[in-house]
Formats: sequence, C-alpha cells, structure tokens
Amino acid sequence: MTKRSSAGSAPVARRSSGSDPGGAPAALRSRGDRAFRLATMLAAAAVLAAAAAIAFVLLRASAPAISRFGPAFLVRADWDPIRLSFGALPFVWGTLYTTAIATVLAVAAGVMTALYLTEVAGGGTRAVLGFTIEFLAAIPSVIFGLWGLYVLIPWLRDHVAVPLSMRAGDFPLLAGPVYGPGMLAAGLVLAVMIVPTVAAVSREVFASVPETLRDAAYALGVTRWEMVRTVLLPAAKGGLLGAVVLAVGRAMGETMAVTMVIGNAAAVSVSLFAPGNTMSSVIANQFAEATERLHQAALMEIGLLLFLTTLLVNLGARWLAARTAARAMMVPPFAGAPEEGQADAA
Amino acid sequence: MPPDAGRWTAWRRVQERAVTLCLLLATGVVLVPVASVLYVTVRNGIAAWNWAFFTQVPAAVGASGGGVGNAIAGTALLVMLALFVAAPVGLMAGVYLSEFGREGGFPRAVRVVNDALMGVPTIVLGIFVYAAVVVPMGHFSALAGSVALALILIPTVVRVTEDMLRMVPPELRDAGLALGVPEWRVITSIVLRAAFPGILTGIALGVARIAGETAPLLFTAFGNPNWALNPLQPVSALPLQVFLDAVSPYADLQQKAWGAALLLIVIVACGNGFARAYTYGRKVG
Amino acid sequence: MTPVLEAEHLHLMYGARPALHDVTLDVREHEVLAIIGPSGCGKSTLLRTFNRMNDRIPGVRVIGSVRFRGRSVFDIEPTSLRRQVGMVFQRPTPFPMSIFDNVAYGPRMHGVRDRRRLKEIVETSLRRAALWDEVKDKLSAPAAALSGGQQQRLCIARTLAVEPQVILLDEPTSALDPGATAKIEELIEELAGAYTIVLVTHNLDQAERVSDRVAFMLAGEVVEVGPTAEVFERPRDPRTERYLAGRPLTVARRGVRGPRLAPVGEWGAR
Repeated sequence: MTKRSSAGSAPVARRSSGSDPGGAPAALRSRGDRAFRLATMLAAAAVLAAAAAIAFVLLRASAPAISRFGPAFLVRADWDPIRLSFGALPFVWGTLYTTAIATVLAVAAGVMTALYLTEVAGGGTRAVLGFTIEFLAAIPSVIFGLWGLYVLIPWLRDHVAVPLSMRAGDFPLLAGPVYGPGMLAAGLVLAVMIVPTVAAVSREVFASVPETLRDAAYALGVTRWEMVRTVLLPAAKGGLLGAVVLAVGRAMGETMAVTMVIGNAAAVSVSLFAPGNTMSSVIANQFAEATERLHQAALMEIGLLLFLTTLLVNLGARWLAARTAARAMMVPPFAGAPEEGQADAA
Repeated sequence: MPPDAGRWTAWRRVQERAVTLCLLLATGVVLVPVASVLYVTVRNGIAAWNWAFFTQVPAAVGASGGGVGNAIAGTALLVMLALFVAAPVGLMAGVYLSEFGREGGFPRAVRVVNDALMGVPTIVLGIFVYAAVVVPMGHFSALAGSVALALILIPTVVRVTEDMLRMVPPELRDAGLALGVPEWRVITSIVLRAAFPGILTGIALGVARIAGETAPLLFTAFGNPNWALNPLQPVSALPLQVFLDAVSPYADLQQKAWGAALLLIVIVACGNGFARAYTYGRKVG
Repeated sequence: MTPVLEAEHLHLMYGARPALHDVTLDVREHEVLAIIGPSGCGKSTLLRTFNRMNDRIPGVRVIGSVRFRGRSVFDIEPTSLRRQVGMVFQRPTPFPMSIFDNVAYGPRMHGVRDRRRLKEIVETSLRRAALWDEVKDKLSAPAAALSGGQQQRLCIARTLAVEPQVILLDEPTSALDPGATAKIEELIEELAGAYTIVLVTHNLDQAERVSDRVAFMLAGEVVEVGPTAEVFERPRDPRTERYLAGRPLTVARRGVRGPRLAPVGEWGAR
C-alpha cells in the first residue's frame, strides 16, 4: 500500500520528542506503578519457585533411595520395610491397573453422559444434571473412600466378586481369594471420581463444535446418531483425547479414596480382586510409620516420580487442549462473568 | 433410492432409538453413585449429629460419646491460614499474568507451571511440606498443614484471577487511565472490582475443595485429639477425622466418620451454592 | 496565542504499520474541533496521542511532536497530562460502582477526601453533564443500571469531575440512539464555552452541527482543516469534496452496520 512506502521515506521530523512512549514507558511510569508491577511479578515468580522447590526438596529427600537402588527402583517388585529392600514395581503396577480400569469406565460413561447432555437433553434437564455432576466433582475424596469402604465393597463382594470367582475362579483376572478391598474396588471408586472431569470436559468440547456443522449434517437428512458419529465425534476427537489424558492424570494422583479401598498390599497380581497399593496410596499408608531413613526416602522417591509423571500428563493434556479447544477445559467452568454494565447497549 | 429404502429407514430409526437409550443409561449409571453417596452419607450422618458431636472432642478410644468439635475448629483454622497465604499471592500473580504479562517467555512459563501444579497429587504436596516445613520445625503443625493447602489453592486463584480479569473490557482500563489515575490504582480499584464476583466464585470453590482435602494433612497437620488452635501445634481437621474414624474398628467412631462426612458435604455444598447464587445474582441484578 | 494542543509533523506507527503520517494540527482555546474521516483513517489514534493513551499499546512508535500548552506531552507525567486532558470513549464505560462513586472516583483518586467537598463536585459535574435531574434521587444505585445515553453522560460527568481543560471525545455517540445522541450534542455545545473540545466522529451532520472547526483525515493524514462552514461548503481539497459528497452513502452504510439506523430525515439535512 502506498501508505507504508510513504512512511518509510517520510521526511525526517523537525522536532523529535525524544521520548518514545512505546519503547521506554517504564521511565515515565510512576513509582507506585513500578512497585505494584514488581510485586505482582514476584507473586508470579513464586509460582515457579514453588514448583522448583517441590522438585528439589523431593529429589533431595529421596537421594538415599536413588543412590541405593538406582533406576532399578522402578522395576524391582520387592518392597520389604523390614529388610530395607525397596522396589516400586507393585505400586507402579497398582497405579497403572487402577487407572486403566477407571479411565476405561469413566471415559465411556463420561463421554456418553456429555453426549446426552449436549445432544439429547432439554434445557432444564441439562441444567439439573450438569449441576449434579459438578457437585459430584466437588465431593471430597475421603468421602468416596468412606462410601467405598462401607457401601461399594460389601455390595461388590456379595453381588459381583464372590459369584464371579466361584464360577470363573480359574480365569487369572478373577483368580484368588476375595477379600473385598482390592484393585476392582479402587478402580471403580476412581472411575466414579473422575467421571465428572470427563463429562465436564467432553461437554465443553462438544459445545465448542459449531452449531452450523450440526445443521449442515441434519440438513442432509441424517439421524442424530449418524450426525454424532460422522460429524461431532470426528470434530471433537482432539478435545476428547485431552479429556482422557486429564482423567488419567486425576486418577493417577487420587489418594484417599484409593487408600481406603485398595487393601494395602505390595504385590503384583493381575487379579481384579487382589489387594494392592498405588503410588499415592502407599505413601498415605506407610509414610507415617516409615521410621527408617531408607524407607522414607523410598516413599519420597515414589512421590517424586508421581510428581514428575502427573506434571508430564498435565502438560500433555494442556498441549492437546491448546491444539484443539481452549485452556478453559482444564478447570471446571465457572459461571462467573464480570459485569459489563452494558445495560442498554444494543 | 435403493429398493430396500424402507427397511433401511426402519433400521436407522431403531439404531437412533437404541443409541439414545444407551446415552440415557450411561447418564443414569453416572448418577447412581452420586445418589448413593448422598443418600448413605445423609442417612448415617444425621444419626451421628447431636450437640456433643459439634462441641466436644473425641472420647477416649473405645468409649462412646464425644464429638468432632476440635476437628471443625481445626479445619476452620487451616482453611483460614491457607486462604491468608494463597489469596494475596494468587491474586497478585493473576494480576501480573492478565495486566502485565500477556506475552513473553516468563508469563508463559508461569502459566504452564501453574496449570501443571493444579494437577499435582495432593499427597505429593503433603510429603513436600513434611520435608520442607515439618522436619525443620521438628514437629507437625497447623502451619505446615495450611502451607500444603495453600499450595493447592494458589494455582486455582491464579488461574481464576487471570481468566476473570481478561474478561474485563479494556475500555474500562482506558477510562480509568484517562482520568489521570495511575495504572496500579486503576487495576486495584476498577479492574479487580469489576472481576470480583468471578474471582470470589473461584475462591469459594477452591476453599470448599481444600476444606475437604485429607492427603496433604496426613503428615503436616497430623491430627490432634484435643482442642488446639495454636498454629504451631498439630491440629485435627474434619477430613482427617473422617479418615481416621472410618478405618477404626469401633462402630461409634465409624458413625462419627459419617457425621463428619455429612458436615463436609454440607460445607462443600455451601461453597458451591454460594458461588452459584452469588454469580447468578450478579448476572441478573 | 499558543494553541492548547498541537501536533507537528507527527508520525505514528503500530509496529511496522503506519497509522499517522506527518500530521500537523492545532487545537485552540475553547473551540470545538471535529475530526472526521472514514474508519481507520487514524482519527482515534490521533486523539489518543493527545493524552498519551497510546502508551498502553505495545509496539507504538512516535516521531514528531505533540504539545500541550507548548510543552511536549512526552515530558509530562501521563497521570497529570490526563487530568488536564480528559477523554470520553465510544462505548459508555461506567465503573462497577454506584453513580456517586463513579463521579467521585477521579477526585478521590486525586486526594479529595472530604465528604462534603465530594458531594459538591459530584453535583456540579452531574449538573454540567445535564444528568443531575435524572439521577439525583438514585445516586447510590449502580451505574450499570442507567441507560446507554445516561451512562455516556455519566462518563462525561466523571471526566468533568477531575476538572480538565480539554475534553477528548472519541465517537461518543456511535453506540447511542438518536434521542441520546441529540442530548450529548446539546451538552457538547453547552460545554464548549468552558472547555476545549476535540470530537472524533464519523457522523458528518454531528460535526457540522456542533463544531467550530473541522479537520478531515484520510489514510493517516490530515487532508484539510478549516472553519466548519467553510470546509463543508467549499472544500479546498478534491478528496474532502469527494468524501463529503458521498455523505448520504456513508450514512446509509453506517446505518446498516451500526447499532441504529440513521433517521431518514438526516439524509437531506444539508
């Protein structure tokens, strides 16, 4: 455009102001502004510092275990506080196992619930169900543990575990004695706890698919299910993957409910009914009684591993979210919006 | 049209019905645990509620009676201390991200790390605070517990503050500056004020969440069977009490666990209800 | 007499994009100067340079001089400059507080604490902004509850409350309906005696009705400045003539895009 070139060859200004408001505003900014800005910047830096401190302190506290067992810590199946021999495999296994159960169930139920809410339910139902599921997300973990211990486990034992193990006890997945607490109970409680996350995020994702896309499909005469399958799900794919990763992150770190229903055993078993421990539940179960320095260091190392893994998983979820929808899906949506005071602006 | 168009249409209709039914069933399956948790907690919890439950400390092990008064007070103390630390830090950092650090490497790093901190397991924060605060102090304390809770609350406050401030129209900032008011006062007296309902909502939800956290308190606040409101002493907390009583073999204590669980649900419901009512009222009025 | 505000050989760039090119323009004591021109011609940018609101936009570069009463604005503390050179924006910007607190906001921030003095300032400002009679019984009501036109007059009152010498109006009526627009125009005429006013507008009839002088801008340049009647009746520059001749068209187009349709009567107003 002519404007651009004429500005480039503009005659040199006769009098230049000398100060450049874009480049050097700090110089003229008042002292209060500078102090305020600095204070807020320090607060922001504190967030980084906290993360760094967590990594550093955990690393230092787990040093004895790291130097003793090295990388083999992850694959050793032996966890014996008496002989001071520690390997994290049972807990890595427990975490993977329960997380897998929970993720499969919660993703299936959560995505379907979200589909029901966005594509089928009417306004009133949608609001009530949405609120109920949000409330489910807010119930403290320890209450799910209590419920799991006194409601879910007895029911599971009498109506699922015992009948199954009596009829198909030879099948490895269902082998072994039924205690009650165990991998299945932990996986189910976890599933209940992460369903709201999956449902809420999936709902955001579905809602962010433009209405015009749905209309275009319906205009071709397809049914709702065909529209969902051919248009909505493909469009929402990336976002749903983000929801799954986020759910995995939640499930891996969840502590109290799992601690209360998993049975506290350091064993690697494929059976759904076997008691076990996850990385987080073993810390909750044993840290208080870990008087030996090495035992404590081993638990600290598990904490460090958990910290790093969830960090990675969350970064992954964030990356997926940024690639697809908004950052907004990382936290439950808040109803709050600032007043704009546009009372009658058309 | 293929000759069997009629059958095809019928099949599609069946398929449509079946899928809708599946979705409805899935939603039902999700709702069953909510209903069950609420029903059982209310039924068992109400039975535990009486005057002593709210006002007394736990009875000696094995004896019946007593209450969770000390845990209620402890939770209040822990949450207030945590809020005292987390609110200013979180607000300031949120202001930085929204008002000064929209772009650039440092703000981006803060944003990424902050979001990642939201997903860190709370038990990890618990053992971190154990190593960083409890060990140097030499004993468990309410202070340590509230530091752990603050670490959970800060990322939420940062995030909510930034999001809510970004929703404030830029014209409002311009209008303040055009009156010759320094930027920091424009931010504190106009921008934060405009975003306040949203921020308060977020903080209310965050507080409701930390009030129910157990894992970060296990090795920090630790628990205390007696009245204790000294921040430097171990204190009890409702979620801790739920955990300890739930796994105890005494029926009386188990009932106390349900009672405390019901109280926690009420607290969470109040936090959520307050958040909703507040934003709703604001939006309409 | 020194002009109140003057821009001399002013160039302004947003990053690499030039927004103002060699602008020279003065604003005289107690006049109403209207700046007109098509969207994106730089009229709002120029206005924002007068009270350094462009400082807020990252990547802005300025060459040339802008002076307020003979002093470069870049040598004046922005807060003190903006107290003397107030500004009202396109969309009403009531703060999230009561009507009273909105008007009292500026004086309070500038150190007025005395309750009675504040009341006085609020009343005077609201009277000058022709809003007092409408709001005197509900000063503690939230400002957001006022109508758009009232909000805009409230914003003018808020600006008046810090006692500026100049008021910059950035398309103050473009978000308002014709009735509210008429009131704001009346108000501008009343304020003209006591303040120096610079009005950016793309409503040509408004410029003609309320201004003493008018500047026509196109693509970042000031094409023509002169007494309003002269410019409108005998434009010297063919570009001005073309722009003014296209007036009905402009009004019609704006009517479709803008919040309200321009009344048909205005078409033939000239």
